Amino acid sequence: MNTTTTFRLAPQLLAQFDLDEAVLLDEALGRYFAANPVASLILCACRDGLSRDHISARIVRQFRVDKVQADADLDHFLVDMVARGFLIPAIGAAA
Amino acid sequence: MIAAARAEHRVAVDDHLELAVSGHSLAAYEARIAGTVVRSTLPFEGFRPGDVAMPITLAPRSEPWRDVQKTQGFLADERRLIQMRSAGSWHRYEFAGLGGLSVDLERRLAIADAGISDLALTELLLGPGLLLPLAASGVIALHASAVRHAGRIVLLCGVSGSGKSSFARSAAVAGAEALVDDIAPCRIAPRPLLLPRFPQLKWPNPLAVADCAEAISAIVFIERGTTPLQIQPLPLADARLRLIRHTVAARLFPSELLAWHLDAVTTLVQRVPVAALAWPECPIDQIPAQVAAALAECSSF
Repeated sequence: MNTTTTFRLAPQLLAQFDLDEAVLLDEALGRYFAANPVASLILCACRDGLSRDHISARIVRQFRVDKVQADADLDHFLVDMVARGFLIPAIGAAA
Repeated sequence: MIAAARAEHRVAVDDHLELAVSGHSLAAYEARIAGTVVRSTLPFEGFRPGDVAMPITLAPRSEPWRDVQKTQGFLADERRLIQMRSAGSWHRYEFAGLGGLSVDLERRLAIADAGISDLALTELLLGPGLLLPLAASGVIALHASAVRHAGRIVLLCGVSGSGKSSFARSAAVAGAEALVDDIAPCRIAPRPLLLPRFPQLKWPNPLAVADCAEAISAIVFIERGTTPLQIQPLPLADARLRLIRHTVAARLFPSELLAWHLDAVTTLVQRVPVAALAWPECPIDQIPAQVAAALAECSSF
């Protein structure tokens, strides 16, 4: 994955980040999803326009995990979220 | 001090909403519900003739209807498919096999189609017809009973069959005051308040409670089971998801209310403690003692 890629939340997705665990609503499906703390951090960072590299650094810092493992898990998560239609890579970015 | 305390419990009636049946243009009846003056073309139970019959005027829709989505809901004894459409501030709900409801959230007006049976009309207008305009003014309705016990207001939530209504009835026998049977309107900001005067259709007098605002002390999810009676605080995220599921008519919220709803339930769990109460099955004659013990648990929570 391109380490400078940024993502935005899909327009049909409403998200509430005030607690450690975010809640998401897919308006198109009418379904709610709960995000665990790591997923919440990632989605919140995407909303704020952070790149994949910056998000990874934030995960390593906040959860004190190995960077290689964090990168691998982050890429897996981002690809999955894009596939589900929850995240949209910035135009011109190669996810 | 007394005046200040009274002022806290007074509900400011600064708004109104209108309920109508298509083809009827005079709202001749009114009632105070959840801090709002509700005017109606129909004499629902608990409504009285208004001082002046208010004409209902319709602002023309400036946009054509556009399909939003389909959902399902339980109304008039049946689970029904609901087609939702929107046009600006207007929202239209077609209930399969029943008829339609049009709601203007800006003007706070709900109009049911003509030709719907009286029973269904009551459920339609006093359900989504009330709840959607109330939501637009910052009031969410939880599927809950509510009691006042030892000076505290406790909302009792639970899945269907969990026994929350039975619990509330037994609580009344144990000295608690039943405020709400099934639908608990709550204003979240600036602090969470229960607005208990709302049509409780299972009660002989559906508008028996005075129009007041009471600070919510706790929200308790009743869970029937085999574990001993105990109360456990719920993590905030779990509590929020439960309250989302227990918000009445949330499936009918248009886009402009959905983001507000997520914020409202988040604020609610941050400001009011939420717990799960394990309530074991027991013989009927032991229920009063069990409810009294449960109320003591709720009061200490």
